[in-house]
Amino acid sequence: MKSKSEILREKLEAGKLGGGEKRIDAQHKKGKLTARERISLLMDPGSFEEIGALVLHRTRDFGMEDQLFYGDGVVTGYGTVNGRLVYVFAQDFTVFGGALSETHAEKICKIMDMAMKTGAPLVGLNDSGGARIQEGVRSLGGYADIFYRNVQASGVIPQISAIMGPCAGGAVYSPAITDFTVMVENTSYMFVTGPNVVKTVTHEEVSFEELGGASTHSTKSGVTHLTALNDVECINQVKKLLSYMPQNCEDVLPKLPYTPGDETRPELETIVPESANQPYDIRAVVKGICDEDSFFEIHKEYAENIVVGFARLAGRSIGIVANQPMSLAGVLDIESSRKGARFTRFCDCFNIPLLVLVDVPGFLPGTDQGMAWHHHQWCETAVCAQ
Amino acid sequence: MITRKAYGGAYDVMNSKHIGADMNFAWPMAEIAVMGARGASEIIFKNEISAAEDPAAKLLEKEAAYAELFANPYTAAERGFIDEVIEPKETRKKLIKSFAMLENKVAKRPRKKHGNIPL
Repeated sequence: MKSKSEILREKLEAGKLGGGEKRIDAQHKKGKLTARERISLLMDPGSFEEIGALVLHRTRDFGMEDQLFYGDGVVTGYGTVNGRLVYVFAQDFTVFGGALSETHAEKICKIMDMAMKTGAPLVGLNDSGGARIQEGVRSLGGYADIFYRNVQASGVIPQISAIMGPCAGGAVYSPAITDFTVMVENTSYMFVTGPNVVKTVTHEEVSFEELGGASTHSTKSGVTHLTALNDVECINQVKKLLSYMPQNCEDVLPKLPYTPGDETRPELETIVPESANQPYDIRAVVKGICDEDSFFEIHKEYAENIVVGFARLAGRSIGIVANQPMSLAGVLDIESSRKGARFTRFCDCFNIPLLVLVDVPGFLPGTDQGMAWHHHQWCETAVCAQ
Repeated sequence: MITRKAYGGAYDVMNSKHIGADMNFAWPMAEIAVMGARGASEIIFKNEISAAEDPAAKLLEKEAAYAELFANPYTAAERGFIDEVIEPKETRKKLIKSFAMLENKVAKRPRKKHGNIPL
């Protein structure tokens, strides 16, 4: 007879395999890592503690009673990233395609609540086909429970979403509410509804990549702040983002050790051209001012007439918002106003000091610019930033 | 930190002193004005330019005069809208000191539920 410890170990071992080795191989063949592999890259070695490894779904329709997987398609827990507490959920595509059930959502909500209570960042690694349709409205309720918490947590703790596979329908709202989104090129998609439904509704023929791929969301919609070539780079981007942020809105900012030296930077003298109409790259000014290699650009390919990102100045985290004379002469239009406003608001939420580099010819005029509206959002955000 | 142009309403919203910036710097080549010298001259001296024998030359003359008067950081500095005009090479030094000085800043806001940002 098996000992009670053996029974426990068997259950936990079964859970670690998710949907089984065949599906894990399929995941790897797509160039994707599994939920557990992703978490092990994110967290400091040995620091991850899983919560809810033995959770099972409660559906007893459509033969689901015979398909039970420990963990129910999402790995949740906490650990440390660069020595600081972080909560994580990682959807497991090998279990029902990562589809979200009532219990799957409950696991996510549980760690969201813990992150709020302890004041630590939340990282979501998304890889899910959407709602678990066998559960109907119970699954939808699960989504809403997550959004509710996203909104409550906004401005209290940093929330970061990595999109590392499909993210469609009800699943897109939660990442869209979080502070930063990172998408993996070619393997991730974000859309409210897929190409087939788009074709039925609007007769528009559009590919997965065009509709919701990383390139579309990093250049046209601005939905994603960063893109990554693969899963490893994606996780590294998340870790880098976290390194500039405090743990919560009342925490002190991270500060790297810094030894003061000669802070004179003669190279800054020659960047701005003689003629006021000649462009130059504002990034050269950023580079000249900030600590070496500390600038981490956000929304790089979206609204290029403004440059935003994190950097360090004498070891302290700062945010940078800078007009870019090299693109459209650095004019403020709708997109650049939105980009600047969103980044400014994040920095303000978490008391990250802001450096604004100004070289701006004005607002872009024109009937399609819907002038006042978006510019006022920018204005209000800037006024609020204290 | 104004590196070159700061024109019109865009000057206001790019973290000017008026909307709440703590420290405002400008480089010597900064142009802080309602618009570029040419556009401004065309409006202010419209009649004078069109009445001139050589309107193009008149425009250039007026443009130079306007630029002399306004295309610089000093009008703003006179009023304290710019705290300091600095040489570019000194920027990093000045910013490190400013952020260190501001580290313990506390901002008080008026009591409210939340503002009505134009969403």
